Amino acid sequence: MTAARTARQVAAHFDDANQQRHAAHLGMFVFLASELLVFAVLLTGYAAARWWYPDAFHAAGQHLYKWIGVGNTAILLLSSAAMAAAVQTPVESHRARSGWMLATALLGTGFLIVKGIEYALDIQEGLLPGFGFDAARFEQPGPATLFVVFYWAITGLHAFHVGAGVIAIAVVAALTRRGPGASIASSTIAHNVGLYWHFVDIVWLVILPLLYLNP
Amino acid sequence: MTSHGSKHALRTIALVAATLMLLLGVTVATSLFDLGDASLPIALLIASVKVLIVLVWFMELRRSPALLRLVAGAGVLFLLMLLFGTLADVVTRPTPDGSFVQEGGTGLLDAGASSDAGDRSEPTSRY
Repeated sequence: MTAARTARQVAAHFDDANQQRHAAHLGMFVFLASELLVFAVLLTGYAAARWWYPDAFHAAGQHLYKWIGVGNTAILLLSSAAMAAAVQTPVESHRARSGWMLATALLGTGFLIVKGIEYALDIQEGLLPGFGFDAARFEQPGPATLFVVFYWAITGLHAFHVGAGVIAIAVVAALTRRGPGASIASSTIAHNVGLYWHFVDIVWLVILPLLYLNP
Repeated sequence: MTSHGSKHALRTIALVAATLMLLLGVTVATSLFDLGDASLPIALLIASVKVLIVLVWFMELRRSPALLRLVAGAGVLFLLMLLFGTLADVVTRPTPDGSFVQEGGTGLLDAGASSDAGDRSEPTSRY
C-alpha cells in the first residue's frame, strides 16, 4: 500500500490510522452500550412480569419451539465464529476475509429463515395475539398473553437486528472482495460490523434461557 | 500478521466456538431437569459465561485498550442499574392483583411485613 493511499484514508482530524481505528471502535462500543439499553427495557419488563406471574410464564413458555431456539443459537454461535475468523484473517488475503464474511451473512440468513418458519408455526398454533389467538386456553389468560407479547417483541426486535447485520456484513463482504486497496477503511468497518454481529449473538444467548428453556 | 499467526488465530477461534457449543449443551441439559426456582438463575449464570467468552475473545476485549473495556463495562453497569432499580420496587410491593394486600395489610409497609414478598410460594394471580 502506498503512503499516499494511506494518507487519503486517514481523516484530517486524526494523527494516524491507528488513532482513527481506535476512535471508530470506541464509537461502536458506545453505540452497542446504547443498543444494550434498548433491549434492557424489554428484558426488565419481562423480568418484572415473570416475577409477578412465574406459573403463568412457565406454562405459556411450554408452547414455544424449544429445539428451534436451540438450533438457532448454534447457527448464531457459528456465524459469530466465522465473523471473528474474517477479522483475524490478514487484510492481504482479502478473498478469504470476504469468504468468511459471506459465510457469516449466509448463517445469519439461515437464522432468519429458521426464525421465519418458527413464526409461521407459532401463528398456526394461534400464538400471535390478533391472529386466531385464544387466551382462554391458558389457565391464567392475562399473564399468559403478556408472556406471548414479550416473546414477539423481544424476538422480533432481535430478528430486526439480525437482518440489519446480515445486510451490513454482505455489503462489507462485497467491498472487501474488491481488493486490499481499501484495507484500512474496510478492515476498520469489518471489525465494527463484527462487533455489532457479536452483540446480536450475545442478546440471543440471553433470550434462549429466558424465553425458550427456563421461562 | 503472518500466515502462521493467522492459522494460530483460526485455531483459537475454533476452540472458543467449541467451548461455546459445549456450554450451549450444558444449558440445554440443565433445562431438561426440573430445578424449580433455581433453573433460571443457573441458566443465566451459564449464559453470562458464554457472553463473557464472546466479549473477551470474539469482540477482542482481551486485546483492547482500557478505554474500550471501560465503555463495555459501563454498558453492563447501566443494564444492572436499570434491572436493580426496577426489580427492587417490583419484588417489595404487592402483585398487581393485590394478593399481598389482601392478607391483612392496609398499606405497602404492612403488606411487605405481613408476607415475605420474596417468597414465591405466595398465591399468585388467577385472572
